[in-house]
Amino acid sequence: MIFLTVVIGAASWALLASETAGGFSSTGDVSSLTSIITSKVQYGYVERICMIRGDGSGSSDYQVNITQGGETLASKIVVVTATGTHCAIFTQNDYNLNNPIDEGNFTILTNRLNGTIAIQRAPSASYSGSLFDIPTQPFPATVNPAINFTQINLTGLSINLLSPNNDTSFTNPSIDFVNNVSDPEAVSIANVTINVYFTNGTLIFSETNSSGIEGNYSWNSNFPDGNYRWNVTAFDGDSDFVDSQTRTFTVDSNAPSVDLFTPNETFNYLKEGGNLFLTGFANDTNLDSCWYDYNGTNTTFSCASTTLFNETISQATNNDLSLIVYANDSSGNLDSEEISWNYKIFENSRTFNATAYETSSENYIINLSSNSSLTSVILQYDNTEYTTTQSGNIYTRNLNLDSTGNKTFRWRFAYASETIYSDNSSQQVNPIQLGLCNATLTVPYINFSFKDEDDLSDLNATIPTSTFVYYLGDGTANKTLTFVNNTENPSYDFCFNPGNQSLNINPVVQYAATDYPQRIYDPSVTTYTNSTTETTLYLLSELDGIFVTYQVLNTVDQAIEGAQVTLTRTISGETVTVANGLTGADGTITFWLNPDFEHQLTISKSGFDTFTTGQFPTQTSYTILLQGAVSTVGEDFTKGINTFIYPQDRELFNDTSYNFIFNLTSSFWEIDSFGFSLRLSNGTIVGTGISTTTGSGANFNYDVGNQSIIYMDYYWVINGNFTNSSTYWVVTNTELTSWSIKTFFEDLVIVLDSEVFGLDNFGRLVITFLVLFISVGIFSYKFGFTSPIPLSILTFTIVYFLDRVVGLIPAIRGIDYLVTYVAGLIVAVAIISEVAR
Amino acid sequence: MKNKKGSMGLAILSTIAVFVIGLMFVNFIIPEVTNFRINLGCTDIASVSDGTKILCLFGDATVPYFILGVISLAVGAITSRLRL
Repeated sequence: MIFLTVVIGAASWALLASETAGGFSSTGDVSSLTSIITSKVQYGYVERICMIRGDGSGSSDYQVNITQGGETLASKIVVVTATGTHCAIFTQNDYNLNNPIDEGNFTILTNRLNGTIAIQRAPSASYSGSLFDIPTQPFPATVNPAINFTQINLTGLSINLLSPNNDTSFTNPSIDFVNNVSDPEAVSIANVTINVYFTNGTLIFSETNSSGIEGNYSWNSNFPDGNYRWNVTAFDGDSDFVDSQTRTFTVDSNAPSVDLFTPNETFNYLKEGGNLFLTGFANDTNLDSCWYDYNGTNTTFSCASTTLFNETISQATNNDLSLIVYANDSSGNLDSEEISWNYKIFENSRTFNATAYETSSENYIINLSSNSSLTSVILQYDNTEYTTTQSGNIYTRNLNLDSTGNKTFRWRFAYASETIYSDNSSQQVNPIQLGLCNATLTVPYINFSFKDEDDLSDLNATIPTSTFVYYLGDGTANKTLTFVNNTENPSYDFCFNPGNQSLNINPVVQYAATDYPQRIYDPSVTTYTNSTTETTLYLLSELDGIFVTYQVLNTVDQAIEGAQVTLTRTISGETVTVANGLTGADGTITFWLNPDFEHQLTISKSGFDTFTTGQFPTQTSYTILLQGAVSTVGEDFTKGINTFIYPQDRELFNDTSYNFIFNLTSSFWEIDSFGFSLRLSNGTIVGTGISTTTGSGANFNYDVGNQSIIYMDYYWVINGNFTNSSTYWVVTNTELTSWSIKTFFEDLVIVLDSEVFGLDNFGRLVITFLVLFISVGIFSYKFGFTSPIPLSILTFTIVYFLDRVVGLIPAIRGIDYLVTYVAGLIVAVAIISEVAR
Repeated sequence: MKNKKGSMGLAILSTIAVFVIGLMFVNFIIPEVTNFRINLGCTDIASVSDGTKILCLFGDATVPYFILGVISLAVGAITSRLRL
């Protein structure tokens, strides 16, 4: 290995490597290429690539490339004109920083970079002489092999950047730079320079410290917003220098800006869980992240500068009507903005069964938050409207479902003069079916079997006719099964679908067998489940029984229809029902009974005392009188009722709120409930009140606005009987009464009270006296009044008008209307004295 | 010479005519009185100046006086007819 030291200037360059013979694939005489310097590229240092020409003539260009990983980092042309040394000197500015390479251990700007040199020369098929006798040819043509080289720092100085750290973001434009320069080889420090560049390479700050101290060097400057890179260069006394690694920093003092658009309106209708759309902009050069704080929860969402964001938010409760959006940038600057919205009607919840069955009784409940502008809530179910019952914020409606299918429903709200609708919901109403068990009806609810009442033997019987009225709800919606079977069978199973519901059935079953007279099984409505009810129906042979008719009357000999008559017998220690049914319109029912055995007779009817007795039914008819309520006609449900209605004045005034009250007391009847509804002249119901406690009035507060008349339809309920009546108030529009004489006297009193022109109480009394004197004087002169009675009456009339009506006469000695009382006393004395005379 | 019966009929007719015509004119006066009161601020008479208070009273008395005048004319129509 040949080492050659080449000196340029005052610096000393050390050769670390050179070419090896045969290292170039050429036919030239490589032995003359004696001074190819090979070294490694180190960023921040000055590299020289030299070629020393020995012999030869002519001029050739050589392109020297510093490459790494196939990327050309820097490139220069070396012109070799004659023998001697020809060098290409590379500084850090020669490197293409727009294409930094970061592979493995190599990073430009911060670390030492190992690279290769490739010397390119024009290709030639053959040449003789030295390597440099090559005519200029177009490039590129790489000569093998690539040459590695390194270069050492000959200054001996060392730079350690202390602050700021690499890739730091600042919000404050004032930046402090601190680095430590050491001189371990004691070459002396000439100066230390800091250079700060924009990312485009423009030098914007450079300052040199020539103190020559070994230690920390500090600089400070203000930088506008932007991205920067910086490094420090230290020169020694020999003009050798060393560059530090290059670091970057960012200045961003401007906070992002957040502008929100929605949701910012008053929604007609909102509900918990409903979707809202948050839209807006978050702008910043270095926008980092965005999030919003809603209902105590922070949620991050994607945002980009100048790009509209649209986030879907789920509405929380009716009190959560605002949120704050935050945005920050990479420097930590933060901005926020709050947005809020409101509602007219807020649905807190709704309750209903998504799946129901026909004939069931279903509740539809909605919980709302609103204000007094919400005047009615109507349920729209399957295109039919139903009123709702209000209890606080909850509106309820019960429906008996009488059809199947997918039913859509919603609520319609009357809010001030607007009509607002809720969201739709749907309910699947499934059919029900009761019938004789088969392949599709498989869950038995009722089983009928038959026995002989006498010997308890099993029988086969027919069902000549039967009806089963069945329903799941309260019976308002129901279905009927009519079953007939004239073939004698030992039992009949009736199944129901769906098999998981409790079913109410009112069966009427006529059953008979050969030689056994027909009996009727007619119990009251009974609830059945999928726990099969085993019912044994008893038949009595035609040889063992008689027909017995029971007639049920009340105490005034009126037939009672619908009385439940049941006869039981004890058979083998078990009480069995041998006959039961309801009396008809004539109050009678007939059974086939065995007169040889004691039966327990029970007759019951709502509103009557239950009748029970034991008997041997030997007679063909019995008449039973039930004690209890006697049906009467024309009860007076106003007896003992005192009603109180407020306001008591028949005249109301426009744009005024009144508390309408209907109260009643009862000294005779027990009141179930009472109440009223307020009605406008067009029939619109604007409010209702209800109470169940006598003495505690039903009330409703209402602003009469510009109505001309308000009606109150009030009622009370006694034992289910409804009694009602109406009253009304006339609403006067005070705007139309400003011209009345009443207004004149009202204004006159106000003017007098304000002591216009200094007119105090004495002045008012003087005026009163003058009016009296002149009026009475004129009347007396004109019409010849001389008697004290007409004069005193006239005086009293004028005094009363001026005192009570106009209010002109002030209180005397603290006593209001004293003059009126005195005048009245004078009239009384005058009349008495005249009468006495 | 007219008798009292004929006079009574004419008197009543005259009275009704005067009364109806007079009240028709009241409908023209009422809006003007209302505007007068609003423009002067008489609806809150306690807050205006003393002179304005007096003007308000005059305005308030306009319609009552007019009606009294109509009634007086109507009564006068009856009594003048009855004297004939």
